[in-house]
Amino acid sequence: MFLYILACFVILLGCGMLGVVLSGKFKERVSQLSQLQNVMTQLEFDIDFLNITLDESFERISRNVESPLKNVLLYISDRLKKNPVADMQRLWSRAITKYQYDLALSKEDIDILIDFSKTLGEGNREKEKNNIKLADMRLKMALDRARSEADKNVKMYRGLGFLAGVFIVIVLL
Amino acid sequence: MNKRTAEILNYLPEHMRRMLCRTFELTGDTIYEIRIRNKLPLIIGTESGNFSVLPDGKISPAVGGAYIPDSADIQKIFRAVCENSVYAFSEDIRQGFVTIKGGHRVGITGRVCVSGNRIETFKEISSLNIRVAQEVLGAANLIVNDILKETGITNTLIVSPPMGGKTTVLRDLARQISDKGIKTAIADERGEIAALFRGVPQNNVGVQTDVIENAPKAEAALMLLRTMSPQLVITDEISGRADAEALRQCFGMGVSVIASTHGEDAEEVLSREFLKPLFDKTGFRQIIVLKKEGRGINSEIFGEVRVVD
Repeated sequence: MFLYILACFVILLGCGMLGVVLSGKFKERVSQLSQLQNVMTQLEFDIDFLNITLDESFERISRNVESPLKNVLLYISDRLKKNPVADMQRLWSRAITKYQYDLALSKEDIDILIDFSKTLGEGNREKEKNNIKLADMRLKMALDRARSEADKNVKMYRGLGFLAGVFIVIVLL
Repeated sequence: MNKRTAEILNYLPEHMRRMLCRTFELTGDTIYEIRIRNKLPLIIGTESGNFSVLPDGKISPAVGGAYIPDSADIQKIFRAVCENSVYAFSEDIRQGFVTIKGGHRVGITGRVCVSGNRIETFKEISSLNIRVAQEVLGAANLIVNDILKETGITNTLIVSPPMGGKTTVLRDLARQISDKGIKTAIADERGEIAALFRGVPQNNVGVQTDVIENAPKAEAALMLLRTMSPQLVITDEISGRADAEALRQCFGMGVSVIASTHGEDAEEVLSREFLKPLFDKTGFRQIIVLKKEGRGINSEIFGEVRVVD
């Protein structure tokens, strides 16, 4: 009997945890989008005031953001340093692919970054600032959507996880 | 191919990198420029003359069969020399060149975008000219003792026609004098003497040397006087009253000066109106007219000293 109660408890806990893990992805997306907005603000500062090159800027910004975005920026910075002829858009694409399992971003979010990288570094200060503003605006919209999705789905996944556990326990009874 | 020349290859697309790697092996240290023009043959300048580069990296005096760079090649190289950050090089681009790692200089031409009376940027780039930095350690060996004497540094104006070795000699003088512990300041308007890259001189200009680059030399010289308290100011290509006035202020503050100017001989330089005030008792005490024997980096530079009365 004791073992039976213990098994039910483990099932409930496991399913509940699964719900928490699945809902975590939504929260993580919100966090990463918010950090990306922070990256854009810092990048604009580096271009407008510090006038440093992108490899230096990404290295600097990477110190102020958390993994996996930190790793993405460090990867791009390192590749730019090693090979100045590297194609910027391809570099971003490779970095995102390399860390895709750690990133909680949706395809739509990744498209924003890839579009942003298309002309990054090619223009004068004004053009770069416009490019950053556009990306920032799109990230803000994506963040708003991600927040409302998170509000909806976090509770749902947690509830579903717990209910699935209850269901299994009932079936086992 | 030396290490500095090899640094140029990092800024080229992969296929051109392979091609020019072979070319550099063939030409060794004699190469001094690479001209990359849109839809025109790729040409290199060497001490033995100009050659076109074939797709396999070999060189030929005829242009037939040469590799023809396209706009994609030029755009890639342009972005690379700007470290993928064109905005950060807007001032350099306005001047028409960018200095890359190793001190090499990349000249840019094409259709410009003008805002007001000021060149904003290049709309289309038609050609790039990579000038290979030629640092010749010891270039001033035959001259340094005429300038650095036991009594101190003699204020000297160095004269030669274009390509006569003025900048090479100034750079080596800076190195030799600075390494003897004399605080030296360089007002390097065109970034040719020290060739700063991310704040680090790409040429050896000595351990006691401070550099202001890309600023009008008159302004830079005065700024150096105020901020770095140098014992010696070195500057290239004195060409106007503002430059002369800045040097007069250096002399007035008891700072030694070594400068250069274009010219064929001492008489011609002495007759220039704007330079005349610089030849008084506190000013330039001698003119050294450079003479060159041989070509390229293996040439020997010596000077004819004309003491100013």
